[in-house]
Amino acid sequence: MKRISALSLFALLSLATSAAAQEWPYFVTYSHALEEPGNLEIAFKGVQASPKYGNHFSSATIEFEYGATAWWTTEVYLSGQHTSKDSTVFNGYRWENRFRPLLREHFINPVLYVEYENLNKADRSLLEVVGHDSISDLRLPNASARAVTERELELKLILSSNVRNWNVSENLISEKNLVAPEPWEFGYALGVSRPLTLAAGSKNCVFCRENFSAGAEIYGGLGDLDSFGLKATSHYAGPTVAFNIPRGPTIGFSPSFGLNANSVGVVYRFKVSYEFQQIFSHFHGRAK
Amino acid sequence: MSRPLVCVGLMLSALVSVAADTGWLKYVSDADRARTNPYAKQTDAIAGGARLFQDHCAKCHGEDALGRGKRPSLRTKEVQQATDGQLFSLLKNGYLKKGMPSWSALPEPSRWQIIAYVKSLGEQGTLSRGAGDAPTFPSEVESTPAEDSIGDRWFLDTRFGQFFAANMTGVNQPLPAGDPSVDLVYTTNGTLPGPFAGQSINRRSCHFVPEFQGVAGAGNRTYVDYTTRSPLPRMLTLLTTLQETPCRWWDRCNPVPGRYSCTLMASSRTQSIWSKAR
Repeated sequence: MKRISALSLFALLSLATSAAAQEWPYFVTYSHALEEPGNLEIAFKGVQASPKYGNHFSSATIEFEYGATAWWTTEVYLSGQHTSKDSTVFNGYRWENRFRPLLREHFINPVLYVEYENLNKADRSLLEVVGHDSISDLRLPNASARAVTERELELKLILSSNVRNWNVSENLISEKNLVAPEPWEFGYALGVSRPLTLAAGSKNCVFCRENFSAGAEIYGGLGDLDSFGLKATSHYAGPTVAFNIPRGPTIGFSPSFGLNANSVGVVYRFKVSYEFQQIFSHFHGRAK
Repeated sequence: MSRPLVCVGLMLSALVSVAADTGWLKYVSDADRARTNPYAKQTDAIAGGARLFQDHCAKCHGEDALGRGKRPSLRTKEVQQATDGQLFSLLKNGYLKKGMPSWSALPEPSRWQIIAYVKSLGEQGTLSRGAGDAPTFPSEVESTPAEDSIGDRWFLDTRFGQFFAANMTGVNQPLPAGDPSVDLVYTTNGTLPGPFAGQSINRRSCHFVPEFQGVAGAGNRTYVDYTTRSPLPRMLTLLTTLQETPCRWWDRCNPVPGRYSCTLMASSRTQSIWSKAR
Protein backbone atom coordinates (compact mmCIF):
# COMPACT_ATOMS: atom_id res chain seq x y z
CA MET A 1 0.00 0.00 0.00
CA LYS A 2 2.82 2.37 0.91
CA ARG A 3 4.53 1.52 -2.33
CA ILE A 4 1.40 2.26 -4.34
CA SER A 5 1.01 5.57 -2.55
CA ALA A 6 4.61 6.48 -3.23
CA LEU A 7 4.25 5.57 -6.89
CA SER A 8 1.04 7.58 -7.16
CA LEU A 9 2.73 10.59 -5.63
CA PHE A 10 5.67 10.25 -7.98
CA ALA A 11 3.36 9.92 -10.99
CA LEU A 12 1.40 12.97 -9.90
CA LEU A 13 4.50 15.05 -9.48
CA SER A 14 5.99 13.92 -12.76
CA LEU A 15 2.88 15.13 -14.56
CA ALA A 16 3.27 18.59 -13.17
CA THR A 17 5.77 21.08 -14.45
CA SER A 18 8.10 22.95 -12.24
CA ALA A 19 8.94 26.57 -11.85
CA ALA A 20 10.52 28.89 -9.42
CA ALA A 21 7.96 30.28 -7.06
CA GLN A 22 7.71 34.00 -6.48
CA GLU A 23 9.12 34.07 -3.02
CA TRP A 24 11.66 35.96 -1.02
CA PRO A 25 14.89 34.46 0.28
CA TYR A 26 13.79 34.24 3.90
CA PHE A 27 14.26 31.28 6.20
CA VAL A 28 12.38 32.40 9.29
CA THR A 29 10.44 35.45 8.18
CA TYR A 30 7.23 35.13 6.21
CA SER A 31 6.10 37.64 3.62
CA HIS A 32 2.58 37.97 2.29
CA ALA A 33 3.45 35.96 -0.82
CA LEU A 34 1.38 32.80 -0.69
CA GLU A 35 1.72 29.70 -2.78
CA GLU A 36 -0.05 30.05 -6.10
CA PRO A 37 -3.34 28.11 -6.03
CA GLY A 38 -2.95 24.55 -7.23
CA ASN A 39 0.84 24.57 -6.90
CA LEU A 40 2.77 22.28 -4.59
CA GLU A 41 6.19 23.23 -3.34
CA ILE A 42 8.39 20.64 -1.74
CA ALA A 43 11.29 22.05 0.19
CA PHE A 44 14.17 20.72 2.18
CA LYS A 45 15.37 23.01 4.92
CA GLY A 46 18.61 22.22 6.61
CA VAL A 47 20.16 23.75 9.70
CA GLN A 48 23.66 23.16 10.98
CA ALA A 49 25.21 24.59 14.10
CA SER A 50 27.74 23.86 16.80
CA PRO A 51 26.47 25.25 20.08
CA LYS A 52 29.16 26.14 22.56
CA TYR A 53 29.68 23.29 25.03
CA GLY A 54 27.29 21.20 22.98
CA ASN A 55 27.51 18.78 20.11
CA HIS A 56 27.34 19.74 16.47
CA PHE A 57 23.90 19.04 15.03
CA SER A 58 22.23 18.93 11.64
CA SER A 59 18.51 19.34 11.36
CA ALA A 60 16.44 18.47 8.32
CA THR A 61 12.90 19.55 7.64
CA ILE A 62 10.80 18.49 4.70
CA GLU A 63 8.07 20.93 3.80
CA PHE A 64 5.04 20.36 1.61
CA GLU A 65 3.38 23.65 0.77
CA TYR A 66 0.18 23.74 -1.21
CA GLY A 67 -1.76 26.69 -2.52
CA ALA A 68 -5.33 25.75 -1.64
CA THR A 69 -6.70 29.05 -2.91
CA ALA A 70 -5.21 32.37 -3.84
CA TRP A 71 -5.76 33.51 -0.22
CA TRP A 72 -5.01 30.29 1.68
CA THR A 73 -1.81 28.27 1.77
CA THR A 74 -1.46 25.11 3.81
CA GLU A 75 1.76 23.32 4.70
CA VAL A 76 2.94 20.19 6.43
CA TYR A 77 6.44 19.86 7.86
CA LEU A 78 8.29 16.76 8.97
CA SER A 79 11.42 17.29 11.03
CA GLY A 80 14.35 15.26 12.20
CA GLN A 81 17.86 15.89 13.38
CA HIS A 82 21.21 14.29 13.90
CA THR A 83 23.49 15.25 16.74
CA SER A 84 27.14 14.28 16.70
CA LYS A 85 28.19 11.85 19.41
CA ASP A 86 24.53 11.32 20.16
CA SER A 87 21.84 10.01 17.82
CA THR A 88 19.49 10.67 14.96
CA VAL A 89 15.87 11.26 15.86
CA PHE A 90 12.59 12.11 14.22
CA ASN A 91 11.07 15.14 15.87
CA GLY A 92 7.50 15.29 14.67
CA TYR A 93 5.31 17.35 12.39
CA ARG A 94 3.78 20.75 11.95
CA TRP A 95 0.62 21.74 10.11
CA GLU A 96 0.58 25.34 9.10
CA ASN A 97 -2.04 27.52 7.44
CA ARG A 98 -1.73 31.07 6.18
CA PHE A 99 -4.64 33.28 5.22
CA ARG A 100 -4.80 36.63 3.50
CA PRO A 101 -7.75 38.49 4.98
CA LEU A 102 -7.50 41.42 2.58
CA LEU A 103 -7.97 40.47 -1.03
CA ARG A 104 -6.09 43.37 -2.53
CA GLU A 105 -2.57 44.72 -2.25
CA HIS A 106 -2.02 47.44 0.31
CA PHE A 107 0.96 49.32 1.65
CA ILE A 108 1.03 46.83 4.54
CA ASN A 109 -0.44 43.43 3.81
CA PRO A 110 -1.48 41.30 6.77
CA VAL A 111 -1.46 37.52 6.72
CA LEU A 112 -2.83 35.38 9.53
CA TYR A 113 -0.80 32.32 10.40
CA VAL A 114 -2.06 29.36 12.41
CA GLU A 115 0.07 26.31 13.09
CA TYR A 116 -0.32 23.16 15.11
CA GLU A 117 2.91 21.54 16.21
CA ASN A 118 3.47 18.05 17.49
CA LEU A 119 7.19 17.95 18.15
CA ASN A 120 9.44 16.53 20.74
CA LYS A 121 11.88 18.74 22.55
CA ALA A 122 14.77 17.43 20.48
CA ASP A 123 13.54 19.50 17.53
CA ARG A 124 16.32 21.73 16.24
CA SER A 125 14.79 23.00 13.02
CA LEU A 126 14.80 26.55 14.42
CA LEU A 127 11.96 27.59 12.16
CA GLU A 128 11.25 30.25 14.70
CA VAL A 129 12.70 31.46 17.99
CA VAL A 130 10.22 32.32 20.75
CA GLY A 131 10.02 32.87 24.45
CA HIS A 132 13.22 32.05 26.27
CA ASP A 133 14.56 29.64 23.67
CA SER A 134 18.30 29.59 24.12
CA ILE A 135 21.49 27.73 23.41
CA SER A 136 20.92 25.53 26.47
CA ASP A 137 17.94 23.89 24.72
CA LEU A 138 20.32 22.74 22.02
CA ARG A 139 22.61 20.99 24.51
CA LEU A 140 19.98 18.57 25.75
CA PRO A 141 20.81 14.94 24.99
CA ASN A 142 18.46 13.46 22.42
CA ALA A 143 17.48 10.61 24.69
CA SER A 144 15.95 12.90 27.28
CA ALA A 145 14.73 15.59 24.88
CA ARG A 146 12.81 13.23 22.61
CA ALA A 147 10.89 11.88 25.57
CA VAL A 148 9.13 15.22 25.98
CA THR A 149 6.48 15.84 23.35
CA GLU A 150 5.12 19.33 22.98
CA ARG A 151 1.82 19.99 21.31
CA GLU A 152 1.69 23.68 20.59
CA LEU A 153 -0.42 26.24 18.85
CA GLU A 154 1.51 28.92 17.07
CA LEU A 155 -0.06 32.13 15.83
CA LYS A 156 1.66 34.76 13.76
CA LEU A 157 0.67 38.12 12.46
CA ILE A 158 2.58 38.61 9.25
CA LEU A 159 2.88 42.15 7.97
CA SER A 160 4.55 42.62 4.64
CA SER A 161 5.10 45.40 2.14
CA ASN A 162 6.50 45.49 -1.36
CA VAL A 163 7.94 48.95 -1.81
CA ARG A 164 9.99 49.95 -4.84
CA ASN A 165 10.75 46.29 -5.54
CA TRP A 166 11.97 45.73 -2.00
CA ASN A 167 10.12 43.47 0.36
CA VAL A 168 9.92 44.39 4.02
CA SER A 169 8.28 41.83 6.29
CA GLU A 170 7.58 41.83 9.99
CA ASN A 171 6.31 38.79 11.88
CA LEU A 172 4.89 38.85 15.40
CA ILE A 173 4.89 35.36 16.83
CA SER A 174 3.01 33.84 19.76
CA GLU A 175 3.10 30.22 20.85
CA LYS A 176 1.15 28.25 23.45
CA ASN A 177 1.82 24.80 24.77
CA LEU A 178 -1.52 23.01 24.64
CA VAL A 179 -0.52 20.28 27.06
CA ALA A 180 1.74 21.73 29.71
CA PRO A 181 0.63 24.72 31.79
CA GLU A 182 3.08 27.13 30.21
CA PRO A 183 2.39 30.78 29.44
CA TRP A 184 2.12 32.20 25.95
CA GLU A 185 5.56 32.76 24.44
CA PHE A 186 6.41 35.52 22.02
CA GLY A 187 8.93 36.16 19.29
CA TYR A 188 9.61 38.28 16.26
CA ALA A 189 11.18 38.05 12.83
CA LEU A 190 12.03 40.87 10.46
CA GLY A 191 13.25 40.56 6.91
CA VAL A 192 14.15 42.79 4.01
CA SER A 193 15.12 41.62 0.55
CA ARG A 194 15.26 42.49 -3.12
CA PRO A 195 15.96 40.73 -6.42
CA LEU A 196 19.41 41.54 -7.76
CA THR A 197 17.91 42.81 -10.98
CA LEU A 198 14.37 43.74 -11.81
CA ALA A 199 13.77 43.01 -15.47
CA ALA A 200 14.11 39.63 -17.16
CA GLY A 201 16.64 39.35 -19.93
CA SER A 202 15.62 38.29 -23.39
CA LYS A 203 17.71 35.13 -23.31
CA ASN A 204 17.63 32.10 -21.10
CA CYS A 205 20.45 32.17 -18.61
CA VAL A 206 21.35 30.44 -15.39
CA PHE A 207 23.91 32.52 -13.55
CA CYS A 208 22.51 35.92 -14.38
CA ARG A 209 21.42 38.38 -11.76
CA GLU A 210 17.72 38.04 -12.41
CA ASN A 211 17.85 34.58 -10.86
CA PHE A 212 19.24 35.80 -7.56
CA SER A 213 17.68 37.66 -4.68
CA ALA A 214 19.31 38.71 -1.47
CA GLY A 215 18.37 40.24 1.82
CA ALA A 216 18.77 40.06 5.55
CA GLU A 217 16.84 38.68 8.49
CA ILE A 218 16.78 39.26 12.21
CA TYR A 219 14.72 37.15 14.59
CA GLY A 220 14.52 36.19 18.20
CA GLY A 221 12.46 35.65 21.31
CA LEU A 222 10.51 38.20 23.34
CA GLY A 223 9.96 36.22 26.51
CA ASP A 224 6.57 35.04 27.63
CA LEU A 225 3.40 36.37 29.16
CA ASP A 226 4.92 36.24 32.65
CA SER A 227 8.24 37.81 31.72
CA PHE A 228 7.87 39.74 28.49
CA GLY A 229 11.00 41.39 27.15
CA LEU A 230 14.49 40.67 25.93
CA LYS A 231 15.84 39.24 29.18
CA ALA A 232 17.12 35.67 28.81
CA THR A 233 16.21 35.48 25.15
CA SER A 234 18.24 34.61 22.07
CA HIS A 235 18.53 36.59 18.85
CA TYR A 236 20.02 36.03 15.43
CA ALA A 237 20.73 38.12 12.37
CA GLY A 238 22.31 37.43 9.02
CA PRO A 239 22.24 37.81 5.28
CA THR A 240 20.20 35.57 3.04
CA VAL A 241 20.53 34.75 -0.61
CA ALA A 242 18.40 32.67 -2.96
CA PHE A 243 19.17 31.36 -6.41
CA ASN A 244 16.28 30.38 -8.67
CA ILE A 245 17.60 27.91 -11.19
CA PRO A 246 15.45 28.40 -14.30
CA ARG A 247 12.97 25.55 -14.62
CA GLY A 248 14.66 23.94 -11.66
CA PRO A 249 14.87 24.21 -7.90
CA THR A 250 15.48 27.27 -5.80
CA ILE A 251 18.50 27.14 -3.56
CA GLY A 252 18.88 29.36 -0.53
CA PHE A 253 21.61 29.94 2.01
CA SER A 254 21.91 32.04 5.11
CA PRO A 255 24.39 32.20 7.96
CA SER A 256 22.59 33.53 11.03
CA PHE A 257 24.83 35.03 13.63
CA GLY A 258 23.97 34.87 17.30
CA LEU A 259 23.62 38.31 18.82
CA ASN A 260 24.03 37.50 22.49
CA ALA A 261 25.36 34.88 24.89
CA ASN A 262 22.10 32.93 24.81
CA SER A 263 22.45 32.38 21.08
CA VAL A 264 24.50 29.90 19.07
CA GLY A 265 27.51 31.56 17.44
CA VAL A 266 26.53 30.80 13.85
CA VAL A 267 23.61 28.86 12.49
CA TYR A 268 24.01 27.82 8.87
CA ARG A 269 20.76 27.47 7.03
CA PHE A 270 20.21 26.14 3.55
CA LYS A 271 17.15 25.32 1.58
CA VAL A 272 16.29 23.58 -1.65
CA SER A 273 12.76 23.93 -2.91
CA TYR A 274 11.01 22.76 -6.00
CA GLU A 275 7.61 23.87 -7.11
CA PHE A 276 5.23 21.69 -9.03
CA GLN A 277 2.65 23.74 -10.85
CA GLN A 278 -1.00 22.78 -11.00
CA ILE A 279 -0.55 19.27 -9.74
CA PHE A 280 -4.23 18.43 -10.08
CA SER A 281 -4.78 20.03 -13.49
CA HIS A 282 -4.10 16.72 -15.17
CA PHE A 283 -7.11 15.20 -13.47
CA HIS A 284 -9.28 18.23 -14.21
CA GLY A 285 -8.35 17.86 -17.86
CA ARG A 286 -9.37 14.22 -17.86
CA ALA A 287 -12.65 14.97 -16.28
CA LYS A 288 -13.68 17.24 -19.07
CA MET B 1 -22.50 16.86 5.29
CA SER B 2 -19.56 16.75 7.65
CA ARG B 3 -17.43 19.80 8.17
CA PRO B 4 -14.26 18.31 6.62
CA LEU B 5 -16.18 17.43 3.49
CA VAL B 6 -17.56 20.94 3.28
CA CYS B 7 -14.05 22.35 3.61
CA VAL B 8 -12.71 20.05 0.91
CA GLY B 9 -15.63 20.96 -1.32
CA LEU B 10 -15.02 24.66 -0.84
CA MET B 11 -11.37 24.20 -1.58
CA LEU B 12 -11.97 22.27 -4.77
CA SER B 13 -14.64 24.64 -5.99
CA ALA B 14 -12.30 27.55 -5.42
CA LEU B 15 -9.65 25.75 -7.39
CA VAL B 16 -11.77 25.21 -10.46
CA SER B 17 -14.00 28.23 -10.42
CA VAL B 18 -11.65 30.62 -12.10
CA ALA B 19 -13.95 31.48 -14.92
CA ALA B 20 -13.42 34.25 -17.40
CA ASP B 21 -14.49 37.25 -15.45
CA THR B 22 -13.79 40.89 -15.94
CA GLY B 23 -15.05 41.85 -12.50
CA TRP B 24 -11.51 42.80 -11.57
CA LEU B 25 -11.76 45.83 -13.83
CA LYS B 26 -14.00 47.63 -11.39
CA TYR B 27 -11.27 47.58 -8.75
CA VAL B 28 -8.76 49.40 -10.92
CA SER B 29 -8.23 52.98 -9.85
CA ASP B 30 -8.09 55.80 -12.37
CA ALA B 31 -4.44 56.36 -11.55
CA ASP B 32 -3.61 52.73 -12.25
CA ARG B 33 -5.69 52.70 -15.41
CA ALA B 34 -3.71 55.59 -16.82
CA ARG B 35 -0.30 54.02 -16.26
CA THR B 36 1.66 53.22 -19.40
CA ASN B 37 3.95 50.31 -20.03
CA PRO B 38 7.57 51.43 -20.28
CA TYR B 39 8.37 48.21 -22.13
CA ALA B 40 5.55 48.24 -24.67
CA LYS B 41 6.54 46.92 -28.09
CA GLN B 42 10.20 46.51 -27.15
CA THR B 43 11.39 43.27 -28.70
CA ASP B 44 13.90 42.36 -26.00
CA ALA B 45 11.45 43.16 -23.22
CA ILE B 46 8.76 41.09 -24.92
CA ALA B 47 11.19 38.19 -25.18
CA GLY B 48 11.89 38.51 -21.46
CA GLY B 49 8.17 38.71 -20.84
CA ALA B 50 7.68 35.54 -22.84
CA ARG B 51 10.11 33.73 -20.57
CA LEU B 52 8.40 35.03 -17.46
CA PHE B 53 5.04 34.08 -18.89
CA GLN B 54 6.18 30.52 -19.51
CA ASP B 55 7.57 30.28 -15.97
CA HIS B 56 4.66 31.79 -14.07
CA CYS B 57 1.53 31.99 -16.19
CA ALA B 58 1.52 29.30 -18.85
CA LYS B 59 0.53 26.42 -16.61
CA CYS B 60 -2.83 28.07 -15.87
CA HIS B 61 -3.43 30.21 -18.92
CA GLY B 62 -1.80 27.87 -21.44
CA GLU B 63 1.43 28.31 -23.35
CA ASP B 64 -0.54 30.07 -26.05
CA ALA B 65 -2.40 32.17 -23.44
CA LEU B 66 -5.69 30.82 -24.75
CA GLY B 67 -6.69 29.55 -21.34
CA ARG B 68 -6.82 26.08 -19.93
CA GLY B 69 -9.85 24.41 -18.47
CA LYS B 70 -11.69 27.09 -16.55
CA ARG B 71 -8.65 29.34 -16.41
CA PRO B 72 -9.40 32.25 -18.72
CA SER B 73 -7.81 33.11 -22.03
CA LEU B 74 -5.64 36.21 -22.06
CA ARG B 75 -6.36 36.74 -25.72
CA THR B 76 -9.93 37.80 -25.29
CA LYS B 77 -11.12 41.19 -26.38
CA GLU B 78 -11.51 42.24 -22.72
CA VAL B 79 -7.91 41.49 -21.85
CA GLN B 80 -6.32 42.65 -25.07
CA GLN B 81 -8.24 45.91 -25.06
CA ALA B 82 -7.62 46.59 -21.39
CA THR B 83 -5.09 49.32 -20.78
CA ASP B 84 -1.61 48.33 -19.71
CA GLY B 85 -2.33 50.02 -16.41
CA GLN B 86 -5.39 47.88 -15.83
CA LEU B 87 -3.43 44.70 -16.48
CA PHE B 88 -0.66 45.94 -14.21
CA SER B 89 -3.21 46.44 -11.46
CA LEU B 90 -4.49 42.91 -12.02
CA LEU B 91 -1.00 41.43 -11.74
CA LYS B 92 -0.25 43.46 -8.66
CA ASN B 93 -3.48 42.76 -6.79
CA GLY B 94 -4.54 39.50 -8.29
CA TYR B 95 -8.19 38.57 -8.22
CA LEU B 96 -7.98 36.37 -5.19
CA LYS B 97 -11.61 35.39 -4.89
CA LYS B 98 -11.49 34.01 -8.42
CA GLY B 99 -8.17 32.23 -7.97
CA MET B 100 -5.85 34.70 -9.64
CA PRO B 101 -2.94 35.21 -7.24
CA SER B 102 -1.18 38.47 -6.62
CA TRP B 103 2.14 38.73 -8.42
CA SER B 104 3.38 41.63 -6.37
CA ALA B 105 6.48 39.68 -5.44
CA LEU B 106 7.62 39.91 -9.04
CA PRO B 107 9.52 43.14 -9.63
CA GLU B 108 7.55 45.84 -11.40
CA PRO B 109 9.65 45.76 -14.58
CA SER B 110 9.06 42.02 -14.84
CA ARG B 111 5.31 42.54 -14.55
CA TRP B 112 5.41 45.16 -17.29
CA GLN B 113 7.34 42.73 -19.45
CA ILE B 114 4.66 40.08 -19.02
CA ILE B 115 2.03 42.62 -20.02
CA ALA B 116 4.04 43.63 -23.08
CA TYR B 117 4.26 39.99 -24.07
CA VAL B 118 0.57 39.28 -23.50
CA LYS B 119 -0.36 42.35 -25.51
CA SER B 120 1.95 41.24 -28.32
CA LEU B 121 -0.07 38.05 -28.69
CA GLY B 122 -3.16 39.83 -29.93
CA GLU B 123 -6.73 38.68 -29.74
CA GLN B 124 -7.59 35.10 -30.49
CA GLY B 125 -8.96 34.67 -33.98
CA THR B 126 -7.48 37.88 -35.23
CA LEU B 127 -4.12 38.37 -36.79
CA SER B 128 -1.70 40.51 -34.92
CA ARG B 129 0.73 40.51 -37.76
CA GLY B 130 0.05 39.79 -41.36
CA ALA B 131 -3.33 38.79 -42.68
CA GLY B 132 -4.91 35.89 -44.47
CA ASP B 133 -4.41 32.18 -44.20
CA ALA B 134 -1.02 30.57 -44.13
CA PRO B 135 0.09 30.27 -47.71
CA THR B 136 0.98 27.06 -49.41
CA PHE B 137 4.46 26.67 -50.76
CA PRO B 138 4.80 29.07 -53.64
CA SER B 139 5.68 27.53 -56.90
CA GLU B 140 7.96 30.39 -57.73
CA VAL B 141 9.41 33.46 -56.16
CA GLU B 142 6.49 35.68 -55.46
CA SER B 143 4.93 37.12 -52.38
CA THR B 144 1.43 37.49 -51.12
CA PRO B 145 0.15 40.27 -48.90
CA ALA B 146 0.15 37.86 -46.00
CA GLU B 147 3.77 37.03 -46.56
CA ASP B 148 4.78 40.64 -46.89
CA SER B 149 4.04 41.71 -43.36
CA ILE B 150 5.47 38.67 -41.68
CA GLY B 151 8.47 38.57 -43.93
CA ASP B 152 9.10 42.20 -43.24
CA ARG B 153 8.79 41.48 -39.56
CA TRP B 154 11.43 38.83 -39.78
CA PHE B 155 13.89 40.94 -41.64
CA LEU B 156 13.28 44.41 -40.36
CA ASP B 157 12.06 44.08 -36.80
CA THR B 158 13.86 40.97 -35.68
CA ARG B 159 16.93 41.68 -37.73
CA PHE B 160 17.04 38.07 -38.80
CA GLY B 161 18.58 38.84 -42.12
CA GLN B 162 20.99 41.40 -40.76
CA PHE B 163 22.19 39.13 -38.00
CA PHE B 164 22.54 36.24 -40.35
CA ALA B 165 24.50 38.18 -42.90
CA ALA B 166 26.72 39.90 -40.37
CA ASN B 167 27.62 36.87 -38.31
CA MET B 168 27.92 34.07 -40.79
CA THR B 169 31.60 33.38 -41.17
CA GLY B 170 31.67 29.79 -42.29
CA VAL B 171 29.57 26.74 -42.75
CA ASN B 172 28.44 25.19 -39.49
CA GLN B 173 30.73 27.33 -37.38
CA PRO B 174 29.31 28.08 -33.95
CA LEU B 175 28.20 31.62 -33.44
CA PRO B 176 29.42 33.41 -30.32
CA ALA B 177 26.02 34.47 -29.12
CA GLY B 178 22.40 33.59 -29.52
CA ASP B 179 20.38 35.33 -32.17
CA PRO B 180 17.57 37.44 -30.71
CA SER B 181 15.51 36.82 -33.79
CA VAL B 182 14.78 33.28 -32.65
CA ASP B 183 13.59 34.31 -29.20
CA LEU B 184 10.06 34.76 -30.48
CA VAL B 185 8.18 33.24 -33.35
CA TYR B 186 5.81 35.51 -35.17
CA THR B 187 2.87 33.67 -36.58
CA THR B 188 -0.36 34.68 -38.16
CA ASN B 189 -2.01 34.05 -34.82
CA GLY B 190 0.32 36.15 -32.78
CA THR B 191 3.65 35.71 -31.06
CA LEU B 192 4.77 32.45 -29.57
CA PRO B 193 7.81 31.75 -27.41
CA GLY B 194 10.74 30.67 -29.53
CA PRO B 195 11.76 27.11 -28.79
CA PHE B 196 15.31 28.01 -29.75
CA ALA B 197 15.63 31.12 -27.62
CA GLY B 198 19.22 31.69 -26.64
CA GLN B 199 20.58 29.76 -29.58
CA SER B 200 21.89 30.87 -32.89
CA ILE B 201 20.09 30.15 -36.07
CA ASN B 202 20.39 26.58 -37.12
CA ARG B 203 18.45 24.24 -39.28
CA ARG B 204 15.79 23.47 -36.77
CA SER B 205 15.32 27.03 -35.64
CA CYS B 206 14.93 28.06 -39.25
CA HIS B 207 12.27 25.45 -39.69
CA PHE B 208 11.00 24.87 -36.15
CA VAL B 209 8.47 22.62 -37.74
CA PRO B 210 8.33 19.79 -35.19
CA GLU B 211 7.91 22.24 -32.32
CA PHE B 212 4.97 23.94 -33.96
CA GLN B 213 3.22 21.14 -35.69
CA GLY B 214 -0.47 21.66 -35.29
CA VAL B 215 -0.12 25.28 -34.20
CA ALA B 216 -2.18 27.47 -36.45
CA GLY B 217 -0.16 29.95 -38.40
CA ALA B 218 3.20 28.68 -37.25
CA GLY B 219 5.75 26.30 -38.60
CA ASN B 220 6.21 26.37 -42.30
CA ARG B 221 4.34 29.60 -42.55
CA THR B 222 7.24 31.62 -41.27
CA TYR B 223 9.74 29.54 -43.11
CA VAL B 224 7.91 30.09 -46.35
CA ASP B 225 7.77 33.79 -45.66
CA TYR B 226 11.45 33.84 -45.04
CA THR B 227 12.35 32.09 -48.20
CA THR B 228 10.12 34.17 -50.39
CA ARG B 229 10.92 37.50 -48.78
CA SER B 230 14.58 37.03 -48.09
CA PRO B 231 16.95 39.62 -49.47
CA LEU B 232 18.73 36.98 -51.45
CA PRO B 233 20.30 39.29 -53.96
CA ARG B 234 22.00 41.16 -51.15
CA MET B 235 23.27 37.95 -49.63
CA LEU B 236 24.28 36.24 -52.80
CA THR B 237 27.93 36.99 -52.50
CA LEU B 238 27.88 35.30 -49.14
CA LEU B 239 25.72 32.41 -50.11
CA THR B 240 27.67 31.48 -53.18
CA THR B 241 30.65 30.67 -51.01
CA LEU B 242 28.72 28.06 -49.08
CA GLN B 243 28.22 24.44 -49.81
CA GLU B 244 24.60 23.48 -49.97
CA THR B 245 23.51 20.13 -48.71
CA PRO B 246 20.02 18.90 -49.49
CA CYS B 247 18.07 18.47 -46.33
CA ARG B 248 14.37 18.02 -46.03
CA TRP B 249 12.26 20.32 -43.90
CA TRP B 250 11.52 17.73 -41.26
CA ASP B 251 15.14 16.82 -41.02
CA ARG B 252 16.77 16.96 -37.61
CA CYS B 253 20.19 16.33 -38.97
CA ASN B 254 21.81 19.34 -37.38
CA PRO B 255 20.21 19.98 -34.01
CA VAL B 256 23.35 21.36 -32.44
CA PRO B 257 22.82 24.64 -30.58
CA GLY B 258 25.02 27.45 -31.76
CA ARG B 259 25.34 26.15 -35.29
CA TYR B 260 23.76 27.87 -38.18
CA SER B 261 23.23 26.40 -41.53
CA CYS B 262 20.15 27.98 -42.90
CA THR B 263 21.61 27.82 -46.31
CA LEU B 264 22.05 24.10 -45.85
CA MET B 265 18.57 23.45 -44.62
CA ALA B 266 16.97 24.15 -47.88
CA SER B 267 14.28 21.92 -49.16
CA SER B 268 14.51 21.18 -52.80
CA ARG B 269 11.88 23.82 -53.47
CA THR B 270 13.83 26.46 -51.60
CA GLN B 271 16.97 25.52 -53.41
CA SER B 272 15.01 25.98 -56.55
CA ILE B 273 14.03 29.44 -55.41
CA TRP B 274 17.63 30.29 -54.68
CA SER B 275 18.73 28.94 -57.96
CA LYS B 276 16.30 31.20 -59.70
CA ALA B 277 17.39 34.14 -57.64
CA ARG B 278 20.96 33.57 -58.62
